[in-house]
Amino acid sequence: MSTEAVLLIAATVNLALIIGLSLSTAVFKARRERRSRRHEEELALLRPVMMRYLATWEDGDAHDLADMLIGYHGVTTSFEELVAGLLPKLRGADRSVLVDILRRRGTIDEARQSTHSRWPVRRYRAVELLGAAGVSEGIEAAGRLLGDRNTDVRLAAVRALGRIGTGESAAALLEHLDSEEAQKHPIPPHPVTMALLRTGTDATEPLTRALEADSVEVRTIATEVLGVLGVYPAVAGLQIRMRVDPSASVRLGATHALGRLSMPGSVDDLTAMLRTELEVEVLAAACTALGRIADPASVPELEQAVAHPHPTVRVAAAMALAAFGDIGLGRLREIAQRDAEGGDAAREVLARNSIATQTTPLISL
Amino acid sequence: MSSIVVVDDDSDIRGLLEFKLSAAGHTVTAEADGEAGLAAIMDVRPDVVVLDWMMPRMSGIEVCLELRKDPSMADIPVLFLTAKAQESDVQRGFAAGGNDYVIKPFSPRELSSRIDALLARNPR
Repeated sequence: MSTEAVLLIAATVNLALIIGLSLSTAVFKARRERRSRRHEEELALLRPVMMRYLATWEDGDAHDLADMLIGYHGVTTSFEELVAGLLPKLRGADRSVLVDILRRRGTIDEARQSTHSRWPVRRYRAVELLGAAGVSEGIEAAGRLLGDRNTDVRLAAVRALGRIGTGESAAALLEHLDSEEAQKHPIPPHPVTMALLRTGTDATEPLTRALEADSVEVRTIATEVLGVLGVYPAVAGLQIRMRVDPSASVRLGATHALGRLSMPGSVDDLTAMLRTELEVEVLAAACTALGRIADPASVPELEQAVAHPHPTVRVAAAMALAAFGDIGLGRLREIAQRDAEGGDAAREVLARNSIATQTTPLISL
Repeated sequence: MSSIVVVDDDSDIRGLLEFKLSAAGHTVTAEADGEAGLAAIMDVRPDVVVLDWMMPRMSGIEVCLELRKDPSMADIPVLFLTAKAQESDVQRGFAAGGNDYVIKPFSPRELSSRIDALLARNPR
């Protein structure tokens, strides 16, 4: 075969391939556009029915609208999309009737099934819907997906458990994080903290249990969330963590939490910590906590802390003293006269204090 | 029958409130941004305004401040419906002249009751 013939065949094959590819691309685009149009048509049909139902369900004569929504079967995911968009915007009875429609349509059961799908996008959508609906039926599925190999699915599972927002969902989250499986597919702490905060005081019991968890990360999260939520019954557990936990991050979290809770019963532990703790951050947090509690019994310990070798601790202790008002400010003025032993920190805080209160500086520097 | 202007850039919320408040017997005008909302308020002179805070073109706070500047509209009750949930946000809403403040996610039933209360307190 001549070279020309080979080139001609190659060119023909290339041309055929290009035409084939162009055709298949055009067909794909046309299908996608058709589906998108269909999706919009379905939404245009569904939206007013849904809105009318939500506006009138209380009157008791909206059964036909409910039946229509329950029996609706679209070609696209329009229904689920519409509901998933509405649910996070609503609360109260209107939200409950929407979830009831989902249940009666079988959408919740379908979503639970879809959490087993081999396709990550389906698992993701399913767990998002279970979370948006906030149904307890979603806890098992979302708990299982915390160990998913896909990061987005794992994070969606964390969010879902936070949205479900019960003690059981918080327990599922904390127990998973404390398991060996969590080491294989890690979850960053921030979304976990947000999910637990969203759960609120319903998470108190699992959070208190989590103070004894094996995982340092879980113990740290538990201390921080208990403090932010203001769970006073957890004070004793937090004091133990602050005193004995081998991890500095847990001791730090517990110290922050005790400062937020500001219980006078924590003063002894906090002042003892100033004598024994080696970590600068924890020491500074202990000073801040004592400043928040503002028990005069802690003034001598804070005065000593103002002379700490590390500047972070010195400033934190001086700021804590300033928080006591006249008593602490008087001590700071005395310390400010020194050249060493915390004089610098005292002067800095006194200067800040005079700016904050917009008065004449309390001392001449 | 009262007239209500709803200004919210979220089409779901606009749609829901249009249906809900219409079903309760009110005449509802809905707009999607602050500028259009202010124009609608000036045009309709409604009995109550439901205002989102964060919107394109003009925020709900700016719309409310504009209303309070105009003596002919200064007494129109304004209810903020917003996701801004901090204590300082609520304070800012009232300081701008808001008469009530509802945080999203919200209960349409509760919102409806609050609107009724505003209408009862401010007969026009």
